[in-house]
This record gives sequence, structure tokens and C-alpha cells, in this order.
Amino acid sequence: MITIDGLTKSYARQRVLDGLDLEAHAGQVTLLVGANGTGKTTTLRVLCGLSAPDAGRIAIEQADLVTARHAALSRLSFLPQSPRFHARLTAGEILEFYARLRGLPATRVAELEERWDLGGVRAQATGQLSGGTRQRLALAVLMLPHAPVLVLDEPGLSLDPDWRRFLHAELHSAARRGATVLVATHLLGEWEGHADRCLVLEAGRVARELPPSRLREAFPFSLPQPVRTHAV
Amino acid sequence: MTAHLSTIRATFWREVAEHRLNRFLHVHLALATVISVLPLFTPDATERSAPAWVLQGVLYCLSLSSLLLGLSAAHGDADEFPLLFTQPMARGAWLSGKVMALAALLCPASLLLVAPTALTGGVSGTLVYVAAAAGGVCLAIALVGLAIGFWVRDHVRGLLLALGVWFGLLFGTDLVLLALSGAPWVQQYPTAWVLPLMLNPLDALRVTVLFGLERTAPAGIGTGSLVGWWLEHGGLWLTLMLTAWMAAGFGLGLVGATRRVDG
Repeated sequence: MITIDGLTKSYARQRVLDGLDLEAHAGQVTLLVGANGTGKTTTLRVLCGLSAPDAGRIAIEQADLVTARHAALSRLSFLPQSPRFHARLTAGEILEFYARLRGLPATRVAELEERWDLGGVRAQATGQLSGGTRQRLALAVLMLPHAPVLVLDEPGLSLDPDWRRFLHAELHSAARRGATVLVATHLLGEWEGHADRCLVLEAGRVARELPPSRLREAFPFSLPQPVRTHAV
Repeated sequence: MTAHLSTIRATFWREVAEHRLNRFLHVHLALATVISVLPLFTPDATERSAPAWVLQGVLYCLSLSSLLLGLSAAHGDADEFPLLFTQPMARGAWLSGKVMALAALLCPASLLLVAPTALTGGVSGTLVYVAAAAGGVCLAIALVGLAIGFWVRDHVRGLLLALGVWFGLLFGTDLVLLALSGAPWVQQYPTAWVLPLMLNPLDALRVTVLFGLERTAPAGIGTGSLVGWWLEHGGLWLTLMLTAWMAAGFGLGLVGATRRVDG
């Protein structure tokens, strides 16, 4: 479970998060949506300990991010937006490094390589991987530790439709096992029917909650529009 | 404690793997190899000429390749910070693993510098001393490069700043001190003039090797009590000063990495 109380964060003189309160529950996939600049990525960065909050409290599975940082981060796994890796390391070395950091066995690495179809690029430098393969590698890193809290920033970018469907299934499966899944996205159409809750962020706060089965109605502008041709 | 050790171990092996194809490391090793065989071309005085070759090699070549190695070690990881720094690890342990790997790569290169001389003429205290001093200076300078890489986001600006720092350490201090040497206050306070030399790792290495090991007369820099102590305890001073530079590089690197991710 993720609990955020009164989170405030400013960059320079601009207040990005303004007393944000949020709860994401175990066993659910929660979407965090909003227009560009409403604070989705900042919320996730502060939640994952990358940026220090100006005020407010964050607890991950009851562990306070400030006073029990190590405990909080060991219960969390994060997928940043457009993840990048050291260009000279191979996909296999990246997975092995994160597995060692988390104290996981080599068999877990092999498992994830197979699950995300990374066996063929295991010895390839990450600088040579396509955007989609790099995203799959980052998703494999996310899934390595069986963390009870999964936080993802625009996870569907760079993935083709088949892998997006696979991602939805994996996140649902994690939620069914009791994980808390929080996803920030603006690709609402493809998440319709794949989330349990949808929180709308406006001006650095959670402004309202939408029924996740009616995202297309609530945000018609976010859907791909059909190309119109005019007869001459 | 166990968590910190796991982080250090994982980061150490990752860093070693990162540098496998690092051109700055390849250049560093190639330069060290070339410098190491140069004393063999003076067969009458191989052992006596080795410290001078090592000194010149470190001052004009290896210090620069070490600085650029440190810089590239910082720049290579920076894009991955959002993933790295959300792992349950202490950033100090992560940086310790990186520094240990850099030490493991640079110290054997320093041993390589004196290996041919030691193989042909036997191991001497002077050779060990010079190799240790070279290794210490290279590591301290590499940590300066690491700190610059974490503070300066842009690769080109980072490279320019690193080159500027290197020129400053190699020539800048000397030129400024030379320009000031005739000033009346320098005659009045010679210690203030000597201190920058003592605090600059390249100048300290130069003075320690030339005046300490080679027993050259220190005619050019006066013989105040501070200079006398320095020449008497050159090895101790070099150790203390390089340790301070490494600690400063480590601290600045840590702050720079944290600032970069929370910028």
C-alpha cells in the first residue's frame, strides 16, 4: 500500500505538487492520469526517493520514506519514464547487477530473461538495443524482486501492442498476488478495462476519481483520432 | 552492514565490466606499458632513471588519462540514476564500489610502470615508493574526474572543465607562483607561496620525487622550516594530501550525484 499525505514540491519558484494526498491499495492497479505538467512524474520521483519533498509524508507498506528509507525502497520497484542504461553494459550484465543488489539468485535472472524474451539480446550492449527492447529490459528489472509495490511511469511507451497486452496481464497478475501497482500514464485508451482505479491529477493535487471502465468517455481527446480525408 | 557489502560488491563488478571497453582505460594501460619500458633503453642506469620516467609519465600522460577515466565513469552511469537510486542501497556504498573498482584498475597499471625495471634489476624500495606514489596520484585525479562528471551534466562541458582542471594542476599553479615569486609579500611570507605547491598533487609528486628520492638540492624554493619538514617527510605528506584529495573527490562526487538526480 502507498500512502501520501500533504505532499508539496516546488522547483525554482514553481509549485508542482500542492498538498497532494493519495492512497493506492494492495491488490489493485491504480492509474494516475492528467495533462502534461500536472505533476505525475514529479509525484512518482518523490514517491520513489529520487527527489526530496518540501513537505508531506510518504509511506510504502507502512515504512516511512524519510525515516526508514532502506525499508521503504526494498518494498518498492520503479520503472522510470524512458529508462536508459549504461551503454557499454550488456542486457545480461544489467539484470545480473540488479539481481545482486537485491540479493536474488541467478535463476531469477534466467526466469525474467525468458519471460520478457531477452535471451537473444543477453550479450548485446544496451546502447545497441531498440527502444522497445530496452523498455522490456527495464520491465524485467522492475519485476526482478517480487516487490509488493510496483510504480511505473508511462510503461507502455515504445512497446508494440502485443507487449502492451502482456504488460497489462503481468501487472494484473502482480495485483492479484497482492501487489500495489501505481501507473502514471496519458495513454488512457489502452488502459480502459485494465485498471481498478483512476485518479486524476490537476494542479499538483488529486482532483477526482474516475470509473476506470469509462476512461474513453472522460478523456476523449487522449484517444487516437481517425484520419479524415476530404473528397476533392 | 551486509547490505552495504552486497552493494559494494555488485557495484565493483559492474564498474569493472563497464570499463572493459573503455578507451580511456586502454590508453592509460598502453601509456603505462610504454613508460615502463623506457628505462630499459638506458641499460647503464635503468634503476636510477626509472623514477624520473615514471614521474614524467604520471605528470604529462597518466594524470590526464586517469582524470578522463573518472569523468567517463561518472557520465556512463548518470543516465541510469532514476533506476539506480530507487534501489534499496546507500549511495555512499554504491560510490565506494565504484571507487574501489577504479582503484583496482589504476593500481595494477602503476605496478606495471616499474615492472620491467624490477624484473631486470630487482625490486628496490625506491621503485615500490614511486609506484605507490604514482598509483595514489592517479586514483586521486580519477576521483576529481568522477566528481566533475557528477556535477557537470553536459558531457562536452564536463570534458572542457576536466581539461581546464588538469592544465591548472599541471601548469597553472606553477605559472601563478612564478609570476608572484618577485612580490614583496612572498619574501615576507614564503610559507604562503609554498603551500599551493604542497596542496597540488602533481606539484607535490614532482617535488617529492625530485627533491626527496633524487636528493636534488632545493635551491629554487627557499629553505624555510615548512619546506624542510616537507622534504624530510615527503612520503607522509604525499599520503596525507592524496587521502584528503580522495576524500574531497568522494564527498563532492556523492553530493554531485545526489544533486543531479534531484535537480
